[in-house]
Amino acid sequence: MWRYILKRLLMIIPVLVGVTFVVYMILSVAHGDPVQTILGDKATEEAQEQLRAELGLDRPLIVQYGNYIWDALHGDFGTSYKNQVDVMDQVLDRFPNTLLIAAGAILLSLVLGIPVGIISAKKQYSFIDNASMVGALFGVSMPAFWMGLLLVIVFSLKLRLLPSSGMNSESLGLLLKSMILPVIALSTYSLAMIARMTRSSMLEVIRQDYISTARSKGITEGQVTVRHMLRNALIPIITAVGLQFGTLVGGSIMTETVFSWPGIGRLIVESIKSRDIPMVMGSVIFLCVIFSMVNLLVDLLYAFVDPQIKSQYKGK
Amino acid sequence: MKRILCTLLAALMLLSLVACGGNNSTGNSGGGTSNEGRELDDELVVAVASDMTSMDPHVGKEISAVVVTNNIFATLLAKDEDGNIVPYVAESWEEVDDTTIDFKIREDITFHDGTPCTAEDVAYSLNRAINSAYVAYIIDYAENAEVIDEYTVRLNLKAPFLGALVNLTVPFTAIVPKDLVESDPDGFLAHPIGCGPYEFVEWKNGDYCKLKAYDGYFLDKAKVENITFRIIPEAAQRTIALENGEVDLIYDLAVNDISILESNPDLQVYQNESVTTWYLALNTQDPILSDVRVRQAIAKAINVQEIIDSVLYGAGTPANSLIPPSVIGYPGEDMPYFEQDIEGAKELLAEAGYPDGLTLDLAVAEDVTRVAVCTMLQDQLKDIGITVTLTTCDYSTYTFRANEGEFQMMFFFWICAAGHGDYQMYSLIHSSQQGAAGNRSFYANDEADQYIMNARQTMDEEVARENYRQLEAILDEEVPTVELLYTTLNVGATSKVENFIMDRAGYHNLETVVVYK
Repeated sequence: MWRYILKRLLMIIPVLVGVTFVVYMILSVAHGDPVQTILGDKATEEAQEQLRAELGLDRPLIVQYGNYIWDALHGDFGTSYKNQVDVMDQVLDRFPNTLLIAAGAILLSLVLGIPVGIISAKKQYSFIDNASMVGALFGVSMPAFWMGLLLVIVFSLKLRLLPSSGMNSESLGLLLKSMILPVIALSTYSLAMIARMTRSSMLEVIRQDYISTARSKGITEGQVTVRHMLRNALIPIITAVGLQFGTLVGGSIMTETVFSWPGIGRLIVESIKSRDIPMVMGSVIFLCVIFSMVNLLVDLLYAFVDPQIKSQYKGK
Repeated sequence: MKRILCTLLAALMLLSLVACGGNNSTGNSGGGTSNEGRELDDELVVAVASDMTSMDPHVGKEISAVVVTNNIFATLLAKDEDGNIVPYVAESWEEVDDTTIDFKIREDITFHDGTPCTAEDVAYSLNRAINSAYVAYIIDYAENAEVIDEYTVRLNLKAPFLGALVNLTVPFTAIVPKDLVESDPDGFLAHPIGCGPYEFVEWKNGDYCKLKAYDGYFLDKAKVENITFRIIPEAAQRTIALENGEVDLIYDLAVNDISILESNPDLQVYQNESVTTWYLALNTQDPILSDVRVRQAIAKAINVQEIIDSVLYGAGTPANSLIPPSVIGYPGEDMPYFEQDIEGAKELLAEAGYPDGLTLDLAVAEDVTRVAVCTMLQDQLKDIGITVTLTTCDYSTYTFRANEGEFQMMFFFWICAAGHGDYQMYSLIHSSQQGAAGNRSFYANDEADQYIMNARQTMDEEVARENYRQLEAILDEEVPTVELLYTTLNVGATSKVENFIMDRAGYHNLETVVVYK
């Protein structure tokens, strides 16, 4: 088991090298000159050349990339081109904000999505099933930013119940209040995904022989559902949740923009726009590590749910 | 030419500013908006579109930074609402000769840490700006600044310069405390200290920035105790936050939201003509556009008023020069405007060898309104037989490609931050400024260069104006650029806000603003 974890952790390294290389190259060959973005149109040639040399941008691309990786390995992710702050400080400052709404969204998706999926599966083709699956289809198709704007119009503008944007961290109550709309907007897609996944995965086990056996033992229907059906249907659901969580962390860009949420998604977009290469790289590396860790965690969770998988890990 | 200019009390200037301030509000003054008898609020929340870049006034030249730092730092001189130069940190000044100006510094100024502001600080700040790669362009007409005595600073110019005084009102020439900046540069960046109306409290990157009124400010203490700048990138969200009462002021009000605010009795719109010119740059080195007749035809195809009325909801005025009217050196309203003349344009194209029309590309940086303007231009140019291919890309890519001369027609805007014509004409027209420096038409004309230099190297505004008039006559004939319009600056506010004074360049100073509960 430990050997397996170690192996998986080591596998993050080539993934990181690949991701950073691709991102670095794309950013570097994209039109737009970081030096000009920093100094503006009106700086003198000399000043531009001097800064270019200071930033090492006058060297060949591959050398620049090598230098970057070398510094990064020593824990130095550089300073932002745009506002001269330390990249990792900034990323670590922003990431908890993203984590907050991503965790909220995944929690909401689980709490609502799994029960809805179970009920739909148990009452297949009933009105409830049809209604929730139409709802889920709606949720999957609805872009987060559009959902966000609709929520703002209803809950902020018309009903005046919730703030329309921003993260208010003055008190826990205000923070939770400012989280509600972004969390709902962000969770729409994953909630729908998880509900649909739970339903189809439940339907697969619902007619298995061991379910009839369980029922014949005389245990309650609730126990049958949770212990025998859900537990066996859980693997695909965990996979979906793991993937969704990764997507939520990295993909909250639109939601963060719509709600002016100071998270890492917005940081990346703003940094790309201003060709702030160190900031984009730092954020991407960070997200890449988080994503890989979540995936690893999901794989390990399988073992707890399914003894067959656990025994496979043992051999490795 | 030796004249002593004014010893007006700067406080008086502020009073006059306050008095004029309200005039711009075109908002709804319908029932219930009177603030008489209401209690003053001690916090003003301002929504801005993007995060501050740097708190160092000699680095952060972007509007998003200046709207904040302009309240923390003070400049040597200031401009009143009519564009007149008035005292600020300097209480008076004397032009010793063509290239030497002496400034007398007020003796009652302290920085936010309590230390007095002296000639040492002022000279250091100006030299720091002169040597800053970021903002030097606004002040590098000066060789250096030197201390004459404890409260006198001398600015030595390289040559006489039209903007010698007005450039010192630009926030990038702000005064910083010498000892603090030298001893702890990082500390200064993390916690900027100036001598302006507000002191810095906290900046949470991507989220907000907070300021507090400075008790020891050398003019009247700012009216609102606390200011919070909140970063809300989406225009629609800013309007909603205002409607909701979550913010009191929004800079960069989207033009299509003006009517929403005007129809709401609790909200108001401040409008003023800006110093921003929107124009088309025509690449004069392009094989097709190098023919002046094609460029003239393009100018004749455009109906600017139609664009203003539809896309901008009326928020703009047609332009007849790259220099905006409120700026030193504006050639005058009597100068000709480009007028739509479809038949004339078609004839010109036929003469140029395109009787059946032609295809040109028009590039624009991603922005809803500007792209909409270009779509209308596309439509108008179609009427004279020019098929326009629209290219939109992000701003960095756009400027990069424009600097390389890859486009034929380019939509640009230029904010006259300095407040004098040279800032527009030298950058956009002078042959030495081709490419990244601003002349994306790649235009070169010796005669035009001469007029630009004549206007640049004088301190006499009338001489400058006369030269710009001559220059404008050449440009109207040669059409390296087609000036379209001067934008209107739109700021939204709740009706609880009073005495907001608009800066035409968008560098609003909030010391006069009051907000009611």
